[in-house]
Amino acid sequence: MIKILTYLLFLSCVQIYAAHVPPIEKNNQQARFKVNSFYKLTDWDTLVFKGDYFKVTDDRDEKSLTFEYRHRIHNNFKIGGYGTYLVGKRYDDDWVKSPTWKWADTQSRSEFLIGANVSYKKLISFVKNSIFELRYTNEHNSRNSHNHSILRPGFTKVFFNQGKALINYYFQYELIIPTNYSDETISEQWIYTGFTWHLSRRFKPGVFVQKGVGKWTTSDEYSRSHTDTYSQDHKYTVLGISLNIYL
Amino acid sequence: MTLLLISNIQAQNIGKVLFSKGEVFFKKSKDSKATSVKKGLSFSDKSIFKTGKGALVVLALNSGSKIKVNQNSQLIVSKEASGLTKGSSFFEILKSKVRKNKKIKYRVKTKHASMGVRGTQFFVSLGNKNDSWMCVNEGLVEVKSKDNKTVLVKEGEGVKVAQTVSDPKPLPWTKRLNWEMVGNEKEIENKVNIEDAYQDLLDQDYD
Repeated sequence: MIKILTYLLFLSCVQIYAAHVPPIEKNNQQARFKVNSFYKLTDWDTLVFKGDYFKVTDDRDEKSLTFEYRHRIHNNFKIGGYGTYLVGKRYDDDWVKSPTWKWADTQSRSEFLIGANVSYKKLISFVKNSIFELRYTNEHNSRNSHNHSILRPGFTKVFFNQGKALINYYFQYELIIPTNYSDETISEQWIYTGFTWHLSRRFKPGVFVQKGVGKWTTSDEYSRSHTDTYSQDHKYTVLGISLNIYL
Repeated sequence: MTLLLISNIQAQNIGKVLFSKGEVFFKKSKDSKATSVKKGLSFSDKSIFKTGKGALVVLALNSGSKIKVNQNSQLIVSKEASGLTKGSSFFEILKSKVRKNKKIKYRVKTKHASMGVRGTQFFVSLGNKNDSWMCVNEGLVEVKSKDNKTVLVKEGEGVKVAQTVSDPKPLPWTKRLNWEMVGNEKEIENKVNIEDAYQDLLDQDYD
């Protein structure tokens, strides 16, 4: 009898706890559409305009516009600075009690990010027409003052047909490392893989798949009313379409 | 008695056509009529060769040097120099014999640069942005731009010449050039497009 009561008490505690923390999100299969346009000012300077629509879950999406300036400082190195206008992104601190614990509706919330990056590219000698790239980015959110670093190694192979570039295959791995938020050292990890087709010198459409895993960690509001913490998984599988335009 | 001296000045032939494919025309001079080219045709100093779309011609100079003129190109050929006025060409220049204690350099000129060569194999092309490209497969080429900057381009390196000449460096797109001068059409045809020069793999952005 005592065992049954203890077990029932345990179950009720688990249920109460579960209602107070974000639900685990797993294997959402969602969609993304990206447009990137590149304008070469000089042989060394490029302006980049990006639009991104990311259907993150059935009831949530993120939209962004980015403007970036890139400068090639060396055959293998580029540096860049950018600003992004972002709408709809969710963060740890959006887990609030209103009146029950739930995610705040961030669909119409806009914010501005600024970032700087450096990328290194090298031709891979043992794989013809292939490039290794490592990009390091530091990003700051002006709304919530979040800072994080993004480390992204990648591989691209360009397939040629009779001397003309035909199609690229690429693979990238991305780590998002918060520097002043989150209880986790790595808040998100993503892998991207896809193909870009050299339709013409100006237009290069592509398709890609990305898989990501991240953690929702204790929100400010939760930590003010609880002594425990949480760390909940969220996983995504995304099918995407991209379009690169070279002006 | 009136002596009529009829002097028939016959231009000295400097080479002959080794291979020809498609629409290839040549003129003995700027003002002469263009005639179509066939294998074995001998040509004189300052002959002008013009190739159409898909065409190709390989010239053998009496010095043993060879020139492969690609499609959509125009080249003025003389004994010690060539002028590329359109398109692109491959040059295989043998070391010439010392003559009167002077070593002779073969010169290739475009509107942006003058290149001096001796014992080398290289490629020259006019670009799409009022520039010229040059890369070296064998030997050493001295390139001088209109602003009098001079660089030495080694094997495996290339340069772009516009207002000035860039520093020599490996150009990944040139690795796919077809340097063959002898053989059948399939073996000698070059399919690398100058547009690839503007697709430096390390410079191309995709995201």
